[in-house]
Amino acid sequence: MSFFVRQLKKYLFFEEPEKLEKFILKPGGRSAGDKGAQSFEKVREKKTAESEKPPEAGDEVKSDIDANLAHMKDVYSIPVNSDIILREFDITYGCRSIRAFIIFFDGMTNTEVINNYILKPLMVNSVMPLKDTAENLEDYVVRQLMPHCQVKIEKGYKKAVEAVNFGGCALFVDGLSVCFAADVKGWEHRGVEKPNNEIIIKGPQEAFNEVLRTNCAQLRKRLKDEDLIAEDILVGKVSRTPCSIVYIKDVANESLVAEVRRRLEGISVDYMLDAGALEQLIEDSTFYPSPQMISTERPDYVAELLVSGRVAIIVDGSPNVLVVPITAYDLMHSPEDNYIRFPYVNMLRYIRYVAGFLALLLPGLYVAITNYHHEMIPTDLLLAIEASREKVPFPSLVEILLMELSFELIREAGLRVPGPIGPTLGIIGALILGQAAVAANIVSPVLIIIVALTGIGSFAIPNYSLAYSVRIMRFAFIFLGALAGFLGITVGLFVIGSWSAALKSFGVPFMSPFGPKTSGKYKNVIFRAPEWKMEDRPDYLNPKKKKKQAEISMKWKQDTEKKKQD
Amino acid sequence: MQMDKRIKFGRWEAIMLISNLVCTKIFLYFNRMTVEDAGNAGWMMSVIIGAVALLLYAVLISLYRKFEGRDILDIAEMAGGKVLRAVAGFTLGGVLFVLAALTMRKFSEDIKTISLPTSPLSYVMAFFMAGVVIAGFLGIESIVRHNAIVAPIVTAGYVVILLGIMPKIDITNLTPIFGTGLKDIFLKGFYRTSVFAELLVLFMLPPFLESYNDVRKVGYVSIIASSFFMVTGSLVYILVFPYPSSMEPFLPVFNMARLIGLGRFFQRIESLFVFIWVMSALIYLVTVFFFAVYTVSKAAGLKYLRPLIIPFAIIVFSGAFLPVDLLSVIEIERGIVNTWGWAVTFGFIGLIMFAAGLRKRGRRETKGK
Amino acid sequence: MSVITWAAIILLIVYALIHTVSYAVWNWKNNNKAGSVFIILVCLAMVALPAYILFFRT
Repeated sequence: MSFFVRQLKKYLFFEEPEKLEKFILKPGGRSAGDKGAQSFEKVREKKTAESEKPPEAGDEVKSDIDANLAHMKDVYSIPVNSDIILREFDITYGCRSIRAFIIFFDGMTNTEVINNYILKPLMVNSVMPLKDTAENLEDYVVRQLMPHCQVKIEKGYKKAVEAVNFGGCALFVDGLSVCFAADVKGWEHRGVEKPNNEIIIKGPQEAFNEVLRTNCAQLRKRLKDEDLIAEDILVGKVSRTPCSIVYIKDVANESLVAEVRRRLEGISVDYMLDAGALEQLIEDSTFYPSPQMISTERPDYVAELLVSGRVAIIVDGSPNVLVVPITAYDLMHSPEDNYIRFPYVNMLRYIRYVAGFLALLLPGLYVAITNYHHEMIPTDLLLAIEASREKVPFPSLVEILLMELSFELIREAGLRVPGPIGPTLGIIGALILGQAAVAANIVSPVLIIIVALTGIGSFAIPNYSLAYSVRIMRFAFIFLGALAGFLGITVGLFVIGSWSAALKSFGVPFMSPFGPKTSGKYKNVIFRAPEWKMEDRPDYLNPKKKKKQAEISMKWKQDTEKKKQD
Repeated sequence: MQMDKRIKFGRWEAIMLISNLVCTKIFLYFNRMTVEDAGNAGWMMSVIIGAVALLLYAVLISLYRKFEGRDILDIAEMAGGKVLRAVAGFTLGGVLFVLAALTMRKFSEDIKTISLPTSPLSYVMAFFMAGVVIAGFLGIESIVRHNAIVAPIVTAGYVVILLGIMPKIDITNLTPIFGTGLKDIFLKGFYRTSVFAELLVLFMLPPFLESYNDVRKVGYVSIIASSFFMVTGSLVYILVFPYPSSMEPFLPVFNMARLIGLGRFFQRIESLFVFIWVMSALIYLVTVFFFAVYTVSKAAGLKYLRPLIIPFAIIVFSGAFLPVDLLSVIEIERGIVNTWGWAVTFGFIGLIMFAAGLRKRGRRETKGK
Repeated sequence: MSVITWAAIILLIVYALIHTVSYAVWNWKNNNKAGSVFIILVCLAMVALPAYILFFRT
């Protein structure tokens, strides 16, 4: 109740709005929150200091192995927790035998690796004569006994536990106040497969999978640049999900990277499970219908966007990678645009815009025309439409809502049913339902054409989330068309346009480069310039390097011309 | 009032803003007004209007040179203290409110006539008002950017109409060349510079623009661009409709669009015209309305203007109902706004700047002594 | 006009009135007395104009 009263008060009485400094992406600018504290060098220093920081009091690994054993058993609730494995054994050091144990999760780790490269050398090879290079036990273990590539020496329990939770194996040795964390991840995961949802005909056919490092590697093998930075941030207080901020150091605007970092660090949730959830936690406007970042499963597309100066966010466990910032027009681009020839791209883009227009406005226009603007349709066409509507008992609004709803129903049901039945459902829904509805005089045949066109249009929109938003807005436009015809639809367009113009995606105005106007409007926004013409990175991103290819990128042409002159 | 100091926008956005404010009249009445004033020499009158506006603006902007980065309210404060600031703010804001209310009434009446004849006027107007209020809440950045996107589209639509009507042109409609006489052309051409009354918004913009040079260029380019569209508009109108009957159409551009026919099938282009028309009306209304609220709240020294949007929307909405019928709206527009508008935009603002300039010089001289 | 329209108009005006007056109060507290008076005048106009249009004009 008090909540209700508070809300009422908030809307009824004037309160001074909170001062929120919004982030604006400026050339070489700094982040809004940190006032320049997060430049690349600063972050590097901070990370270095963090990794060298000694553990907190009470968190240090003890030199007494029994204490360590008890602590680890306590942490992992052994023996209630059944998939945690704790294996005790002895290491021979000189002529002594020393107690040790390893701890790891079954199923998360590769037991083959643990057997061959951790246990075997420690238990068997330690019997071999000692080389005198190793001065103490710690050096002996890490330098001579463990032939494994990724071993870290940890001084605190927390770090060790974190490593074990993320598929590592921790080794404790009696008499040492450190533990050794070996990375032996070996959980089951999907391989690199073909993209399922963003299908293209030409171009690379690899998709991201659920493993963070594989995804990073997918980007790295495409860009092959030491300036490609993959900066890890753990999100989620409990789940500690590793997220990678990926950017090209000497291209991406530093303040943009800092802003992404600031937003990720500012998330306070217990579990972060997927990029879709992260998207909602870092986007600028929750209620604006269309997405404000690109979420893609194609590494080649992400690589292209990184080259233009954007920043990607990879979430461990999610096959979708987020890319920020974007503008409204980027949502109508498809990765395939980069791989097919100039004339085809432009035709495709044109068709996509027509598709978007149809999906958004066609039903609304139909309602507006049939209710208010009969005079607009040429007489013959009007006669045809009216004749087909003659026997239909519903007003056109009810008719179109009925069919749009059944279309959405078929789409949603087709998505949920088990694989083989899906297409059948589509056929039943689309063909039989539509045919029967017309035959029963519930809807007019013209309307079936309209709904079908609308549906096809919405599937031709390359961005999956944008297609959703278009579908939602379509209903709004149907109602506006029914309320006031063209006037209503135009007011709707005006409101959506104003809202888009007010919106920012990570400091970049959503409608740029047209509103506000920046350069490069005709390079790759609505239509696409020829490949050799795209010298500049988008101006609104304010990248560190403006050019991405030479003014004359086809040098061979110049050379041949010169030769001719000679 | 403290608007976000970081809000700046470019020259292009400002040009689009001002030009759209001035050019919206073409869709409403401008062409017919020129014909009524000067017969079939209306296009010449448009040329005179543009030339006089350019001249007056040149005077105004040279007076403005000393006040780089200040808007007209600050200048008024320099000239006559807080009192003049308030007077200037409420006068200019009031003018903008009247313009908003009149235009809203006219557009709604026109839309009602063209496409929603059975709906009540208040219903049509409520749609306009809803758009204006929402866009007003979104703020100046959104308005200016949206202007930069919409204005070129509207212009393209208008050019399409002008091109489509070309086959219907009859060159003999131009005679007699001087229409109802040179006196009409020049005298009326002078006070009809009132069609540039919206230019006063430009003098609220300087804090958002980079420099004096920007303001100057924005003014010149907008005046030249709008004059171009006005002259071509009235010229084509006169060429299409012969003189006496050209005074009759209720909506000049709409009637031009009605004449367009491309073959047997495409006969009704004018319905599409409703889109660009409503779009341009909305963007005009929201700009004028927002700047009216901005001006008065700045004059009253208020920190936030959002709480005032709904009250002023209600005032404008009911103010639009004050004239009894469309005829009295036209009378007010013709007799008052378009006859005396120049006195506010060029006269009043010019006087303020002149006074402030004198005062500034006086102060400097006393300091020098 | 129907009852619903009346109710909607009155609700809207009452809501705007409360909100605007609270803004005037806020301004008064923040030492902008002139601004506050101006807002009250706006409120009066906001009530008077629709009332004139709805009730008093024949």
